[in-house]
Amino acid sequence: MTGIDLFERMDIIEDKYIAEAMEEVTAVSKKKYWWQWMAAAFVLAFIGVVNLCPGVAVAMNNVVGLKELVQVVTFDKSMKACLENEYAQYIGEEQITKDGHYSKVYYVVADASHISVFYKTDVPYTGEGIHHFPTITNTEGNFFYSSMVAKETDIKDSYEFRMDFLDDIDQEGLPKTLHFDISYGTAWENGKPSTENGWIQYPDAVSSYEIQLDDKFFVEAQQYTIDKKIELDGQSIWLDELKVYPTKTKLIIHEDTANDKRLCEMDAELLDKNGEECTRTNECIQAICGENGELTGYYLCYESNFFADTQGLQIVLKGAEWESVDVASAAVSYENKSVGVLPEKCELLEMQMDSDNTLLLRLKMQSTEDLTYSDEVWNEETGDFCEDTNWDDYEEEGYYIREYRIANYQEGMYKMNITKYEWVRPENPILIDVK
Amino acid sequence: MNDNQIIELFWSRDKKALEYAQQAYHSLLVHIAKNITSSDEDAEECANDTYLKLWETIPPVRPESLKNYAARVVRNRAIDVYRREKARRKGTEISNIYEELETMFADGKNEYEEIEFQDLMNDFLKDLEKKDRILFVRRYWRGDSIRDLVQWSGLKESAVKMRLLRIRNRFQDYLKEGGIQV
Repeated sequence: MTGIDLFERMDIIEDKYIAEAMEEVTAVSKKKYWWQWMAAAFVLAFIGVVNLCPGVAVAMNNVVGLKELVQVVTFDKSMKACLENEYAQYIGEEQITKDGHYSKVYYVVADASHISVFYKTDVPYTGEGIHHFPTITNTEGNFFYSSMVAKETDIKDSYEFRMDFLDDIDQEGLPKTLHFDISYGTAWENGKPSTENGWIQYPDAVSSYEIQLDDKFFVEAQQYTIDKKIELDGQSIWLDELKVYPTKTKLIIHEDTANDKRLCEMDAELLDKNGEECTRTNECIQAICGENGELTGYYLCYESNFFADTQGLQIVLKGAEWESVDVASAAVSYENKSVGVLPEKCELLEMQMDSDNTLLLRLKMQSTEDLTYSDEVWNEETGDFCEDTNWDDYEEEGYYIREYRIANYQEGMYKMNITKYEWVRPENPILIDVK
Repeated sequence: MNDNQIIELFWSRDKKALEYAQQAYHSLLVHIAKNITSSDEDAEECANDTYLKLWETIPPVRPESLKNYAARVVRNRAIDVYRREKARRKGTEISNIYEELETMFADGKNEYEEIEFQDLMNDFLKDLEKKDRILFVRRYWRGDSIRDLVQWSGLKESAVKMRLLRIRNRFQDYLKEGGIQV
């Protein structure tokens, strides 16, 4: 079977995974070139937290079924703290569809970064035969979150439907009403799609809930000024402040304007008062932008549950990764068999012309944990970047092979940039006490 | 206008459905089609064919997600176009994806029951960490380039490629455990 047959066959991937992949928006903060920042659309990162109805908070002992749900369901530490500190809004509504499917919405938890709806229904979420499909829209009928996922909890027939926002929202950004629908339908029966087109058919019955989010108790994130400058290998990073929410903490930083390299990533741990490390939740530093889209700083995000008690927090800085241009606009020349001067441990392996005037370029580029080079070849006249068409990664040996095939090659038309990504680590970790 | 409202327009045979569908999803459909065909012109053709297909099939189909449905239609259409124009597609990103898939099924036998493979694939995806699952689906269903994946994930290019390689290797092991010959 050929590759295209296999690619075609990938259509058996379930709808929910397709939707997940298409709904997930770009989470990247670092860009290879400064000018790409201006092309990106960023939302001003206001930070706020809504404490949902502490006056009508979860009264665990008084709600039938809820105590059991809370005790048994698995949450991460931050969610448990959320319940313990009464940041959950109890809903307690139930419905039965025309064809007899039962559901109940127990409670909603929301903060600046996400909303979770906890519910129960007697129809599974996946598998053959009938299953349920939850959605949430705002009053305009639109999806307003960046990603959504439903997952089973440890309690039979109970689920968490979680939506994450692309950027933090404030009180005004939180919708007043959530339209939470649970639809029921079939996808596959007896190993075959339930329709000739393989799509889910819905019965007429849908359970629709209108969840009113009570925002009358608005809680600001707790903010702790750090205002400390760290110098690493001639570059400087400012640790500005720590913002603590009920379920997470953000370390806000910015680069010194005198830097001649760009910050890509930081290795910084956040320790609570017991010295336990908080789990980092964003894979790379994420941008914070001003009103005009200009970069104003970055943040690192950690899972945390110490909103109610923030004594003894400490940051442990172990290093930073910097991007700099190592080779700028070197000419690619077939006549001279050259791509300019390459960094140490990088080399031009091959440069050959095919009979159809396609230039084959093969490079060996260093790639280790602390130092990686990245290359780009482009047509200077058109500005188009040349796609690399093959690679082999020799991670353990510390390099990778890059290959370009430049069709209709013309001498003097192509240039190459080489960018260096280097980690700089202090001899000893730098400790910063927050309070 | 949301998906459900557009679907209702299709059902009531209101041609505004096509206009709204185009407004909502044209760039996505063109993106998916171009990933596969590597041609702007062919990608536009596929997207336009998709709107016709939506008109012809809704009703009787009432898709759960119009977006997903349209994406699948354009994907299939783009694959047909690719097959037709195969000779012109050497050295493109999509051909790299086909090669990667071929390495997942190295001996080329691929003899398995359809439903068995489908269950295994989706069970495998369920067990993956979310980021890896999205990388896999974006690469091998949507046809995203490595550059697209770098931009989405924030990882370095070599890290994206290594992740995909590891996922493919894991998938091979998963198939073997399921008794599928690879």
